Amino acid sequence: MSLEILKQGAEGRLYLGDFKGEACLIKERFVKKYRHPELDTQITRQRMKAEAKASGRCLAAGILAPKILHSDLNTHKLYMEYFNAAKTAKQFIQETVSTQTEDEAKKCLLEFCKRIGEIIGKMHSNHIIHGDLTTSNILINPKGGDYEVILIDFGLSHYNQATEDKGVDLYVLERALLSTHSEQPYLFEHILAAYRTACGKDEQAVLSKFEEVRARGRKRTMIG
Amino acid sequence: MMSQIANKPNESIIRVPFATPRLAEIAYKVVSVDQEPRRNFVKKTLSLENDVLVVHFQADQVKSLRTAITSFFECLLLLQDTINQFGDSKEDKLITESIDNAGTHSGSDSA
Amino acid sequence: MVCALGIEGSANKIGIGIIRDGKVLANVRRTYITPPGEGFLPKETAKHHREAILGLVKSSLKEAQLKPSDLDVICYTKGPGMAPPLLVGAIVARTLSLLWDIPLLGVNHCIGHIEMGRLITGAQNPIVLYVSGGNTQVIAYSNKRYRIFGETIDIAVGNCLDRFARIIKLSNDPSPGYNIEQLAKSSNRYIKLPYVVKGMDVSFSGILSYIEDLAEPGKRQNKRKRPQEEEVNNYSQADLCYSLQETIFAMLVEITERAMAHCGSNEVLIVGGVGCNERLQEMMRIMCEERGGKLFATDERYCIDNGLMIAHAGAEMFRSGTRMPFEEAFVTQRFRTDEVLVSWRDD
Repeated sequence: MSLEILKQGAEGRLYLGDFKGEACLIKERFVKKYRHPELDTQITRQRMKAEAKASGRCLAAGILAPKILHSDLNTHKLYMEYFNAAKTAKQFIQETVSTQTEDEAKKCLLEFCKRIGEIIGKMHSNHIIHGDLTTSNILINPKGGDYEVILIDFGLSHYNQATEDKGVDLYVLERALLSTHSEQPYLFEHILAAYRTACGKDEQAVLSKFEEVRARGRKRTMIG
Repeated sequence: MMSQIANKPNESIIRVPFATPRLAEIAYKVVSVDQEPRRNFVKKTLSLENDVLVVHFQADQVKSLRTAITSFFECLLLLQDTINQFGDSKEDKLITESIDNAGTHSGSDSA
Repeated sequence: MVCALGIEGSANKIGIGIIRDGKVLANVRRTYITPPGEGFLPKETAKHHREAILGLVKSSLKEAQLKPSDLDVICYTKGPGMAPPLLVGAIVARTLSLLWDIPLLGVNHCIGHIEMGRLITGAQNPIVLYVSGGNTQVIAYSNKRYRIFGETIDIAVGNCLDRFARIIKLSNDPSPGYNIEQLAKSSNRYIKLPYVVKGMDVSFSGILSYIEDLAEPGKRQNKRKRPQEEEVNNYSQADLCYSLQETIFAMLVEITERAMAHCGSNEVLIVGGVGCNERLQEMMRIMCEERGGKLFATDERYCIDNGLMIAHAGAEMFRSGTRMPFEEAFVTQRFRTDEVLVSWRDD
């Protein structure tokens, strides 16, 4: 069966296919020949398992993520729910800025930040660490006149209560926003504000850990 | 920074003569750029007296005075060497002499 | 026509380069080499540079067949790097600028690497992997800045390699990383090491301490005992070098690929001292081929710190109208890549 390649992401190739008659997205983590075979097998299995687990955990916690329909470790394929009308948060931000007036765009993006922050906070309050929070890994799915936010690409995710891991997760997101959306430097502070309302009882500890991770980045001497 | 220096500071004045007032002024400009590190509590005042560069150091501790003077001398020596080797304005010509720049513990390559 | 002389001395290399409109006229360099097991310290490195720099300026002018008045601008590395050796370059640059009455420009070291890589390889708008003793960054250009998409959250990849080379007492001549690369060629025994990727960021400090334990079992036995390593291992130095390279380079390729997917880019440029490692280049090339992309890399003349890259980046700045007041000709240990306004690119 020849499948239509949707996209070659960083983790693997994405195809449209079906599972037991239901249309789905197939993510194939093909063998990466640049890596040592043992390392490749280890990473691929680990990432596939992480992705399936985190997706289940998120759904159980009321956070939207693609349902994993089937996982085939031998062919490195994950069959999952497909959202055909969704776009990435990255596209959403860029389109909002280019199609609306400055005030409208900002209003719309502040609402967007609030939702994203709350979802990430909720995810952390359930001790799910995403591991790769960027605007390419957040989907905006139209629903009625509104939209819902779906988290995807959980390959680097894990379950951990430690504030360090949550702090690093936030740091990764902050850096991704600053580099990808440099024209909208206000995004992260609004996401963080909403995050604090939803991240649970460790709020202070996570925030100070986040500041610590940030400071490490700033203090690092860069020689050579 | 001045307020952090005691009433009776350790002081040192260094007077460095140059061949011409122009060279002294160049030296003055070159060494003026660098600030003393804040935590050293050293005050460095530079001035020019015709062809002489005057440097006045003040510090709470003899030790910090020594550190400041040592690093100043390192810069000064490099500056003087640079002037000696490249400072003759009539020397705007192609270099043809052979160059010996062998140093110890040094690997060299050219591309 | 811009003719620029560049002085680089932010770490253990002191180099002078001269370039005229993208044409290399001279590129000379000396490296401060420490005994096996020892790293380079700021004071000693500065002393080495002071003894070598003026001879190198002469060599470069001779090689370029230029007289001082042929130069349009003198460029030096403003940072980031170690302050004492940086200052050596700055003092000479300032003095020459005033003696010869030629404008002076301070250049960001990382920008120097990126622009030199683009010039030599012809890469237009690549994702840049900048890997050296002090830096590990994944960079992409957007809207007048080189933006950092990923980086190390602790030590640099070159620092990890250098420190491991010191632990197993490899020679620092010509560089510790080169000797690890050569030794790694004689093994294909893969030892599982920690693999730490967080989004587009990486971490090396955990890997370093793990492999230190493997290289010197018993040395830190009171600290942590790993159940699976209780028996003395029989790993050779070559096995350790091989596995370290395979692991950390796979991490670098992975974050580069993630940045390509995120930014929708198909070109990769590797710059910085670690960038001349042929195994890293090979792995990156395979990744690029798997996604229909293209790899651009340079050899040690341009990858490893050199004066030419400072001259070239400075010439680009000068051409696009950047000028620097003399009072600002200082050096700074911390100087982030994304602080520089890229005035010379219009895309």
